This record gives sequence, C-alpha cells and structure tokens, in this order.
Amino acid sequence: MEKLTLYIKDLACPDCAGKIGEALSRHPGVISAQVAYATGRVKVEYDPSALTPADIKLVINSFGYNPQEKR
Amino acid sequence: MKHSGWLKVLWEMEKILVVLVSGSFIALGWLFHYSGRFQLFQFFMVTAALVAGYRIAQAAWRLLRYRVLGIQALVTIAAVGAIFIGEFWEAAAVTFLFALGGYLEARALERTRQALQSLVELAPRRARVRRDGEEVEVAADAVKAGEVVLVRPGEKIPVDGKVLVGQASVNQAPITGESVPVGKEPGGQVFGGTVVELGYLEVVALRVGDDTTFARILELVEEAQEAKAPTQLFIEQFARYYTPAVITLAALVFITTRQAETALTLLVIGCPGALVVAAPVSMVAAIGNAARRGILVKGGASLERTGKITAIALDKTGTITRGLPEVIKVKAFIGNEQELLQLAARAELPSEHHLGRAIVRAAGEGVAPVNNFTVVPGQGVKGLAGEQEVLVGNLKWMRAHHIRLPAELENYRVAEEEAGYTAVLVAINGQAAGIISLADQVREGAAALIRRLRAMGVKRIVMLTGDNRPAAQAVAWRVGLLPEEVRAELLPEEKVQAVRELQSTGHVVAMVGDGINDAPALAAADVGIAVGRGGTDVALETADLVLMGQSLNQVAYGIALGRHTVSNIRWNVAFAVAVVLALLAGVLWGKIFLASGMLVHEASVLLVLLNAMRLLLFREKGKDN
Repeated sequence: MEKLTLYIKDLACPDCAGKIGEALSRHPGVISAQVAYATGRVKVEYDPSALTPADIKLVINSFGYNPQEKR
Repeated sequence: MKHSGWLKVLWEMEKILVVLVSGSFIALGWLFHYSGRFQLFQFFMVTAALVAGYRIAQAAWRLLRYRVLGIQALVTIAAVGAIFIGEFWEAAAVTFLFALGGYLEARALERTRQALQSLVELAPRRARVRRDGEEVEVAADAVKAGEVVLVRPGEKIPVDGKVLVGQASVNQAPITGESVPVGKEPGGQVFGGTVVELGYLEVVALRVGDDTTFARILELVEEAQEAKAPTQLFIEQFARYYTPAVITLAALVFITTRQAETALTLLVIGCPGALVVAAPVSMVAAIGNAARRGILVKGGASLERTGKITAIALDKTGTITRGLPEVIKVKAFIGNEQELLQLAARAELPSEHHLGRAIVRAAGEGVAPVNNFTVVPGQGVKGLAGEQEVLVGNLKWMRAHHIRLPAELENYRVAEEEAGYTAVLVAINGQAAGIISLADQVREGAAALIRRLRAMGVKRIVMLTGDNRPAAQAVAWRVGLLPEEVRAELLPEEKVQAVRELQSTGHVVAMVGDGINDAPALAAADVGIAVGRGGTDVALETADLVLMGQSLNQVAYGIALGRHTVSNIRWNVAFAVAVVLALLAGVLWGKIFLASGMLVHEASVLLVLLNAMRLLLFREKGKDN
C-alpha cells in the first residue's frame, strides 16, 4: 500500500470535495481516499500494483481540477 | 512535471476564456435582441449556454458515472430544460453565472488556503550532509537520522537534532515565534527550519522530514483546518436533507402545476451554497491567521470555544512568571553585599539546586568553587573558601550548625518571606552574615495581559499555583490580580478541581499553563492554552491553543480572534439562511427565475467568502502595551 498527498488549491464547492473523495474511493486500486474542502488536501491510499500517482491525478483532472504535490 | 507551469496557466486560461466568451456571446445576443433579430439572439444565447455549460455538463457526467449526483447535474438539467421551454436567455445566464461564480470562488479560496504559504516557505529544502568524509548537498528530507549535517551562516538547519561541533546564534522564529536569536553550542538542541545567523554548526540529525517539529506543526495546522466544528457538522447535516427535499419539491411542482420554469429554478437553488461554505472558510482563514502569528489552533471547535470563554485560570510558575528564580536583594549584616554574594556563589557553584544556580548567575563569571563541598537536600550547602567556612541554606540548615540568628537578622528574614521572597541565609565562620532574597520574576507583559483580559470583559481571572501563599500574593499584586482570585498551594489535581469549580458556576474556562505540571488542568478546561513551550509534545497533545512564542500577549490575541471567528460565522450563517429562505419564497412566489435565482445564489456565496476572508486580515485594535 502506498500513500499519496495532493493539493487542489482551487477546489471550489464543499460538495465537490466530498464527491471527488467518493469517486476516488470507488476507483479500482484505491484503498481509501479523503478530500478536505477546507485545505483542498487529497489523501489517497492505493495499491501500487494496480495504479500509479499519475492515474490518481487523471481521475481528479477529469473533475476539472489540476492537483499539485506541493502545498 | 516540468510542464506543470504552463499547464497550470492553460487550466487557468481555459476557465477565464470560457467566462469571457460566453459573456461576450450573451452581450451580442442582447444587441441582436434590441435590434429585433430574434433568431440571432436565440443563436448567441444557446451558444453562450453551450460554451459555459460544456464543462459543467462534463463534470456532471463524470460524477454520475461514479453514481454521484452533483450540483453540476442540477445546473445542466436546468439549462437544458430552459432551452427546451424556449427560455434561451435563462439558459445562458444560469450557465454563465455558474461558471463565473465558480471561477471567482476558486480564486477566493485559493487566497484563503494560501494563508499558510508564508509558513510553508520557511520549510528547509536543501541540506549539506557529511557522507564518507565528503560534504554533499541533498534534499532536506533525504537526510537520514544519525547523519551529520553542516550549517553555515544564513542557512536553514534542515533537521531536528543535537549540536556536535560549533557555535552559532540561531533565529528560532519559525518554531517559537521569537525572532531574538538564541545561542547554540555543542549538546544544544536545534530545530529544522530555524536559521543560523552567525557562526557554524555541525548537527547530528535526530528527526528528519515529516518527523521534524516544523513538519508536525504544519501537519497540525492542516488537520486543524480540516477538523469540522459543531456548527459545520450541523450545516452539512442540514444540506444533506435540503438538496433532495428541494429536488423532490421541484418534481412535485412540475407534476402538479406544469410550471417548468419554477421547477427548474428550484433545481438551481437546490444547493445551499452560501450556507455550506459559511463555517469552514471562516475557520480556514482564522486558523491560518493564528498560525502566521505563532498560535497553533487544534481545530475549529477549539477556536469556537476560545471565542466563548468567560473565565480564565493562569498558572503562576512559568506562565505569569519566568519560572526561573532570580536574586532580587542581598543584605549583608557582616562585611559588604558584593563579598557576601561572591562567597555564597562559591559555595553554591557545585550545587544543582535552582536557587543555588540563581545565586551563581547573580555573582557573575569567574567564581571559584569551594573545597570540601557538602550538600544536604532540602537544607543547604557548605564548603571552604580559602580559610573561611561558608554555609548557605535555610533556617533548618543554620540550626543544624548551631548558628545564632540575631533579632535584627531574624526580623529581616521574616519580613522578606512575608513579602513573597525566598530568603536564603548565609553564615561565615559560624556567624550569621547575611540574607539573599530571591524571587521568580514576573514575565514581561503579564500585567498588560491581565489588564487586557479585564478590558475584554473576561469575568473571572484566577491564578493557580502550587507555590506558597505569600509568594503567590506577591506575584498577584505585581500583575494586578485581585487577592481573592489567588489559589495557592495547590497540587496538580487541585488545579483540575479549581478549573471544575469555575465551570460549575457556569463559566466557559480557559486554562493557561506551560504544560509541565498543569497538563491535567489544561485538559480539564474548556480551552487549554499552552504557553512558552513551542512545539513540545505535551503542549501539542493536551492544549487547544499552543503559543509558539514567549509573548503572553498572544493569549489575548487568541481570544479576540476566537470571538471574531464566532461572530463572523454567526453572521455568515444568518445571512446564508436568510438567502435560502428568500430564494425559496421568491421562487414559489413566482418572483425569481433561473437567471435571478443563480445570480442571488452565486452572489451570496461570494459575499460569504469575502466576509470569511476578512479573518485573514484580522488584527487587534486598540491594544495597549
């Protein structure tokens, strides 16, 4: 299991935070995912044999956001 | 990752372009409308809706694929519905306003989340490590525990560790909030993120990367911002029922009255946007503000309670006072004061006692130790300074050596003790020679803090201490505390009791302490405030607010910020509830439609965000010195 922390700095609606989190959690290979509206921080635990950090970023991209690794 | 720079610019540009293009199409559409060319009007409005709505529909679809119904889906349905019933302007307006509002909200939030950026930028990035006898430069988090790092003037210490070699003055502001440099020498502890101003250090790394105090502080602040306050949990609960309820209402309206526009408008206002952002954004702004001032807040709930306190209990030693006794007066009955202090210091030099250390500090450098040093804990020390036998200690120590105390000296001793000093007796060659009076010094700003707290309307200001009553009363008098608000000779569990008593009389109580012997009281209080022990584990674990610096002023600042945050959130929530009700009433009344509904919705979200962001700029007004 690997951990990945990303930041979506322009995450706009609280609604979206929860929903991106749900979507990530349901993605194959993701063990757990949390998206915090307050900080825009995304925490993902995933199975590295099933997907890469780039895949996780693509999922977030598809919601119209561009996550970054730096705070 | 090297493309991330212009990639980000493209992302930004697309969002702005979408808003600009659809906005221009809307403007063109109205031009044709006024010149009577209705077909062109319709064409431009639909195009505007497509341009602005494309991304919204895309996001809606992606969420739906994950079986999630988002506000984007509601807006998409509303826009498509509006085109179907021939309300082209409404469709364009709804999508345009949603895109514009979304863009502005994102910018506002980015600004708010940036509050921590100034802190983040203090993080060390590079480190010089000695590996196989060679100096190599690596990323700060690539240093391993146990390795030796080298730090030159102007450089950041990359790890938490212990000084092996060298001397330096270090600016510890990132950890303690105090910008006065601190001297470091071998054996001294240093923190990652602090800066060597002068000198050179070789440091053995003890904690690196995410384990350093600095990294843990950042993590703590982010956790705090993410932690949900009770207000926020309540609102989220409300929103969970509100949205489905409004959608159901929209369906009912459509089925019973066939008023498609009213039904679609209900969808648009189905997400109580202003309400859900009301609390969390205020909290992020306030906690960010506090962090920049060197105050770590444990979370939204802690800050809300801090804003509501009515009573405050302050620990004496280490909080109101420095926790370090100092020689206040020397009185010689034989010989002169300077000689007496020097002799006492020589006798105390080998001693570990905190009063003894204070006497040695007061005597200055170059004191030679006595011969035949003897110490009896709880009584005193003795030794030979040349030909002279020196005794330093308390009454018991003098009695044990059959030293006769003249009435004049005894009266002086009693008066000093009653004034709150600790009187240390000195005898030379079997004769009582003088008295050294020591006291724990009141910290700078303690009296000002108490005046401020009183001015802020804190109803009870109480001092709790394990120390004896005269010493406690003397400190209370010096800082302007009422004598009846002094609780002396308390054990740690009695401090807890004192806090509980205040709570039982209906007060919301803050306990301010250094977290050493008052940790249970810090935990028992509604708000525990740890002061002057920046970043230590005890403080970080038990306290709600941790003051990184030495300045007591921060206590008042924290309370003032808490109060502003509470009222900011109240205002936001009240306004947001009013907007929700007004929108609902307006729609059902037939006064508000898609465009106006979306306008009010987006404008109210922005107003709430801007109001919350005022907390970023909060500074205390009218603070006295």
